[in-house]
Amino acid sequence: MTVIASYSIKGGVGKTSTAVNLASMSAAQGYRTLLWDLDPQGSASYYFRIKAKVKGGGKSLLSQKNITQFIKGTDYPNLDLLPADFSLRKWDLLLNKVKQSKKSLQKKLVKIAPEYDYIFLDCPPGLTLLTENIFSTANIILTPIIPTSLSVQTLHQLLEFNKKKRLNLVIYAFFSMVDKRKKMHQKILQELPKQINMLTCKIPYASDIEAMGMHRQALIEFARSSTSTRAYEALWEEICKIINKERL
Amino acid sequence: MIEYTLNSKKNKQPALVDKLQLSKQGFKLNYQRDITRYYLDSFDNRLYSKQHILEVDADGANLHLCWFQNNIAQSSVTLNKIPQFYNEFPIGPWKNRFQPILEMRALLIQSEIPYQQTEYVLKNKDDKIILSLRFEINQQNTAFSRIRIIPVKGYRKVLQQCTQLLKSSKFVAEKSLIYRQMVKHAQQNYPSLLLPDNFKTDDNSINACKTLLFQQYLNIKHNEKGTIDNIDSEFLHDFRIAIRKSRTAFSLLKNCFSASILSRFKAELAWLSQITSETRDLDVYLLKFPEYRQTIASSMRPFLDHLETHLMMKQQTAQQILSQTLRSKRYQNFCLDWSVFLQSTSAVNEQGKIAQKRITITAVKQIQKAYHQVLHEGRVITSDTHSEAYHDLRKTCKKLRYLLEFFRPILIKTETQSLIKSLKILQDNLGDFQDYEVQVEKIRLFSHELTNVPPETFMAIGILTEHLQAQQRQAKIVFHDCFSQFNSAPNKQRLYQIFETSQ
Repeated sequence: MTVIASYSIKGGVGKTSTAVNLASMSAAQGYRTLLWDLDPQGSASYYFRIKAKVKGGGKSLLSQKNITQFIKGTDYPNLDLLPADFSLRKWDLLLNKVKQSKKSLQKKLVKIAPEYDYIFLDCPPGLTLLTENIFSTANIILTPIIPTSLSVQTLHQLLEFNKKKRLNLVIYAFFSMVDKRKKMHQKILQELPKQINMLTCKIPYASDIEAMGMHRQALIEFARSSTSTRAYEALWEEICKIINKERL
Repeated sequence: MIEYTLNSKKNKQPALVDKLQLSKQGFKLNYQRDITRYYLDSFDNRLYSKQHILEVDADGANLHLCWFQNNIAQSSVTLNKIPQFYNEFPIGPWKNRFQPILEMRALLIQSEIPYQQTEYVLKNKDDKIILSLRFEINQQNTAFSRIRIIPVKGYRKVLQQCTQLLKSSKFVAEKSLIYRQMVKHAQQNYPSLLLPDNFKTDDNSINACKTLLFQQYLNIKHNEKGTIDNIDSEFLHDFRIAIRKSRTAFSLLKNCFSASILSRFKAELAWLSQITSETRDLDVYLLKFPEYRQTIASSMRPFLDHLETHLMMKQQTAQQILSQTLRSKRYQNFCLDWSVFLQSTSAVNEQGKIAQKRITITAVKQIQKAYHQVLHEGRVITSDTHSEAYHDLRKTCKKLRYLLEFFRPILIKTETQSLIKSLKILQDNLGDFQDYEVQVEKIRLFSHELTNVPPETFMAIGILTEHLQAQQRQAKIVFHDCFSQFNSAPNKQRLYQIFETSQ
């Protein structure tokens, strides 16, 4: 089992679109895939037409050893979803009361590991105790970066945090919501890869990605041949090569 | 997934749908289509023996593969074509999943069943599917018709309700055992080989030899159809091994037979070996091709395609000739005469001293002779020795190995097994050495046959042959270690114990 977290300190950078599209591509290839919607907003759950509600809420999720009972099948073969719950906004408070709080998530995923090849985590923005749980669980942290100075700044913050705390996180940043008409985007697309190791694939700013919310479907369902879909396919291929090489 | 067969008297689907009042239950028609369902497995049911089932549904436009393990649906994927080998599965977890089970075995279509498939789905108020119900009707054989409930994880209540609905309707019979019926049907095409009893320690040599030869004859016949039909390269491989073993066993007691028997069957076995050789060689090169590609840089790999295509065409031609030959009168006559001879009781000219000697005595003598020959041939090999000497040693090792395997039933088990294990290490090394040499030679010959190909093809072939030569040099370097572990005191002790307990 490989755990891939779609994470950023900043919100609105394309985390959920990334998690949803990559999870659906993984499932389409035949990998048994789980997407865990950890964001109380519940956007990933919305895309898959699953109510963002867990029986007993975040408290129940934390207290139950086996989280299988909360998992729902999606309309896509091989793809399951652990839906969000609005009470997840209080997870940090709940986690604080638990022993070895930074490993809570990991313990739960270990139990269901035999059932899945890939687990995607759609993470909320910010840097909290939940985030630290995610860091200790994920094999790969995928960080979408909009090519703007603020977004680049948050990437530096994350890398600095990783270095300072000696977390040894495997972080792969990639450009998201790229608009090549914008001069700032063009500049950062050229400059940032010289400073930081980035994935080569770039996800464009595209209306069909926004339309996912309207269709309530992943891109491969309603825009199979679009540029955005091909960009996510290329991203997935790049990630798979890394995973196979590093045997994550 | 839960599957039910239909009560045979009431399996007309439209009637069933009405009777079950599906629309009242909230079900809506999702699709109706005609499909052909294929079940895939190796001829020896490797997947099924490990509780795996592979189904491929073809509806004219699409192919859809579904994998079950322990009767639970695990995963599925859309295909471009039905895979024949594990490396023809699409991108995803499939190759890694099935390569350890299938290895080099071909996936065969074990059964093919046409269905009219109708799916009804139950959706919740978010328009999300929470349960599917599929009717699969086979008009020719109603025993294959079934209903499948495809549950969605996390929606248990509707599953329970649906199961209850079907059970109480009396339109469904028992839970399906369809796949087991089909495995049984497939096994009739390729039944397991049942060998006759082995010879006993107090059998005379001629009878023991005939028993051995008859076992190999049955192996030849068992693999014959698969070889002719070119189902899987392992059929030809096993066919050739049976021939090779027959030639070894036959030469053991050549003094027991009349000159005419000897010359006839010796010549025919040599002929069989010769006619199968080219096809087998080409099979091996094609099986190794993924390995060949890995030895050169990824940018050059596409240039090996021309060589691979050329080899495939040659293999097809060689296979056609082989299939025709195995359908010929000459081959049929050989099989008939050989089986009659092997099942006959000893004739007058088989009453000689050697033929009547107890088999244990003959076995010990032959093994001793072959063992000393291996040591003698191995000891004279140095780093300067010509490759012919390695090939001769390889042949002698094979002979010794066959002797140990033939006579395993009457030899001390653990010592024989350890000796065979040690011999295998030496054989593998000699095999590598010779195989690399032959491959280099053959690939060069094949490259001369290529026309209208880009120059990069020859560069790629050159890199490949250099790699194979380097591998051969490496095999030569480690030869002495491999030989020394065989030519060791423990093995001498084992052989001594084998002889002692056999006498």
